[in-house]
Amino acid sequence: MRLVTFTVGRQEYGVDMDQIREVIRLPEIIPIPDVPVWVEGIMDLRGEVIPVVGLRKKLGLEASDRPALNRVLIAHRSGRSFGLVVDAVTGVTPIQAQDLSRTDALLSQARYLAAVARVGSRLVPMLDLCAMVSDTEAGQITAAGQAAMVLASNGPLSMDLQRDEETR
Amino acid sequence: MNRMMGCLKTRLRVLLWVVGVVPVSAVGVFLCWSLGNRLQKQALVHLGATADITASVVEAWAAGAGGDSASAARSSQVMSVLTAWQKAVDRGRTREISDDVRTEARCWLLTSTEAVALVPAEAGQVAASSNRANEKTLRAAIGQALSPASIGRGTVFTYRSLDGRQIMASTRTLPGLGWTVVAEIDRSRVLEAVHRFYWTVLGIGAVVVALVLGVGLWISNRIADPIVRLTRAIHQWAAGDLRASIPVEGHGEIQALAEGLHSMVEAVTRIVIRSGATADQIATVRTEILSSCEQQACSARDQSSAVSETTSAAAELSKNSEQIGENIKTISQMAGHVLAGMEKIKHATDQTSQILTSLNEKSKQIGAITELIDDVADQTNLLAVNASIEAARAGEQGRGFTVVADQIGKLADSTAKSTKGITSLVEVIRHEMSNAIIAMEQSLSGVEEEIQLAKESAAKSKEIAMSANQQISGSRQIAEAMASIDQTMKQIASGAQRSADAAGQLTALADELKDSMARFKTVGQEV
Repeated sequence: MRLVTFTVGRQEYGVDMDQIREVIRLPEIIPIPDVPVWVEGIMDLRGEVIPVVGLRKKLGLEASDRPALNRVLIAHRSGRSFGLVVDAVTGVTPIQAQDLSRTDALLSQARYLAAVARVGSRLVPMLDLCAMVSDTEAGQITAAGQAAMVLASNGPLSMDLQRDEETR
Repeated sequence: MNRMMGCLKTRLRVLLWVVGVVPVSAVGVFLCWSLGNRLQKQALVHLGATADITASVVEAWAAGAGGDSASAARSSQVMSVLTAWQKAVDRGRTREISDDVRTEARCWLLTSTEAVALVPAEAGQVAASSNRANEKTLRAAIGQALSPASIGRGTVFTYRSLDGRQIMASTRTLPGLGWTVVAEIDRSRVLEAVHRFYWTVLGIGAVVVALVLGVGLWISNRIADPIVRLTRAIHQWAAGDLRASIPVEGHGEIQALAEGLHSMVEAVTRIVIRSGATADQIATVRTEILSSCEQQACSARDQSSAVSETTSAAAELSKNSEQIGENIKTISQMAGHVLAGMEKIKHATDQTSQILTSLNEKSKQIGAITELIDDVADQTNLLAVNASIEAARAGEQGRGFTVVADQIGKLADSTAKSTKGITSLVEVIRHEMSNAIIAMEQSLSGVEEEIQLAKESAAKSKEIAMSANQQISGSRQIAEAMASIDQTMKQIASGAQRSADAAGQLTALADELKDSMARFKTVGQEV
C-alpha cells in the first residue's frame, strides 16, 4: 500500500492513499452556520460542493499561522467527498505491510488512529479518515452546505456554479 | 586828629565866644558910652554946684556988707563971708543943689594970710577953722589955675592934695578983698557914680563874658565831645580795636551818627569774625585742596601709567587679534577645503546609495522570480503527489508513471530547496544591502552634518575674523582713547599742580586775610 504523509503542527501523520482522491491548494472556504466547530465550511471542487474539515481544529490545535501553504486532502468515502485541511503534504511513500503496527490493544480509545507506520527511522501515525467524520455527520454537513448554497444562490458562488454547468 | 579835633573845639569856642562876646561887648560899649556920658554930665553938674556955691557966696557977700566993709575988721569980714556962705548954702538947698554935694563939698576962704574952712555951724552959727596944712597946696593950685581973665569970674580946677587925693575945686575971688572962696570936692566923690557904673558895667561885662565863655565852652564841649569821642573810637576802630564803643547820649545827628557807626562796627565785627572763621576755613580747605590735588596728581600719574599699560596691552591685543585673524583665515580656507571634500564624499555616497537602491530593487525582483520558481516547484510537487495517487489508482499500468511522478516530486523538492537557498541568499543580500544603505545614509547624514559643521565653522571663522577685525579696530580705538585719556590725565595732573599753586596762593591770601583780621580786636577777645 502507499501512504500519503502530511504534517499538522509539528507532528507528521499519514493516511492510506486509497482514501485520498487528490491534493489541492487551500481554496476559498465558505463558512456555514449551525455545524460543529471543526467544520471549516464548504468549498467548490470543480462544481462539486463538498464540506471541509479543519484537522487542526479536529485535533484541538491552534489555527495555522501560514494558511497560504496549507493543503486540502480530498477524501472520499461511501461515494461522498470531503476536504481535510492539513499544514503541508510531505509526500507519497510506499509502505510494506510488515511496517504497519496495529494499536487496537493499546489505544482502543483512539478512534481516529488506524495504525502506526514505520517510515525509515521514524514512526508515522496513520489516521482513519472514515472514523473522523461519520456518515451522518458528513451528510448533515453536506446538506447544510447545500442549503447554504441555495440561500446564496444570488452570490458569486452560484454564479460560478452556473458557469461551470454551462461549461460542462 | 586829636589836634585837629582840638582845633575844631578851639574854633568852635572862639566862634561861640566871638558870637557871644561881640554883641555883648557892643551892647556894653554902647551902654557905657551912653550911660558914661550921662554920668559925666552929672559929675559936671556936681562941679557946677561947687561953682554955684562960690558964686552964691560971693553974691551973698556982695549983697550983704561987702562993698563998704573993705576996711572992716578982718574977723568981721570973715564972718560976713561965712554968713554969705551960710546963706548960699541955704539958698542952695532951694536951688536944688544935690544934698550930697552940698554936704560933702568943703568950702575954704583963702584970706591973704590964712585959709579958713567954712563949716556949717550948729544952729545958725558959722564956724571957722583954719587949716594950714592944705593952704599952701591950695594956694599953689589956685595960683596955677587962676588966670587974669578968670579973676572975678571964678574958675574950676583940679589939684592933688597932700594926702594924694585928686580934688576938684571951684574958686572965686571976693571982689575988693582979694580973698578967694574955694569950694572943693573929692574927685572920687564926683566921679563915684561914674566909677561905680564903670565897675558895675565891668562886673556885669565880666559876668556876661564869663557866662558867654562858659556857655561857649559848654556848648562847644557838648558839640565837640561826642565828636571827639567818636573820633577817638573811630581811631581805635581804624587801629583795629573794634571793642571801642561810644556811650550814646543825647539825641540828634551825633547820636544817630554814633548809632550808625555802632551798627556799622557791629557789622564789621561780624564780618571780621566771619572773615577770621572764613580764613581758618580757607586754610583748612586749602590743606584739603592741597592734599586732594596731590592725590589727584598722584592718581592721575598712576592712571597715566595704568593707561600706558593698557595702551601697550591694547597694542598687544591688536597684534594678537591680527594673529587670530590670520589664523582664522587659514582655518576658513581649510574649512573651505574640508567642505569641498565633504561635498565630493556626499556626491559619491549619493551615487553609491542610488546603486544600492537599484540593487535592492533587483534583489526584490530576484525574490519575486524565486517566489515564482518556488510556486512552480510547489505546484510541481503537488502535481507529483496527485500523479502518484493517479498512478497508484491506475494500478500495474501506472507503475512507470509512479516512478516518473516520484522523480518529478524529488525534482520539485530539490527545486524548492534551491529556491529556499536562493531566497535565503537573497534575504541575506537584501539584509546586507539594507545595512549598507543604512550605513550609507548614516554616513551621508554624517557627511551632511560634517558639511553643515564645515559651513558653520566657515561662518563662525568668518564671524571670528570679523570679530578679530572689530577687536583690532576696537583695540586701536582703545589705544586712541587711552592716548587721549593719558593726555587728559596729564592735563589733570598739570591742572592739579595749578590747583595746588592756586591753593598756595589761596593760602597766602588767606594768611593775608588772617593778618588783616588779626589787626581787629573784637568783643570777647582778650586784649
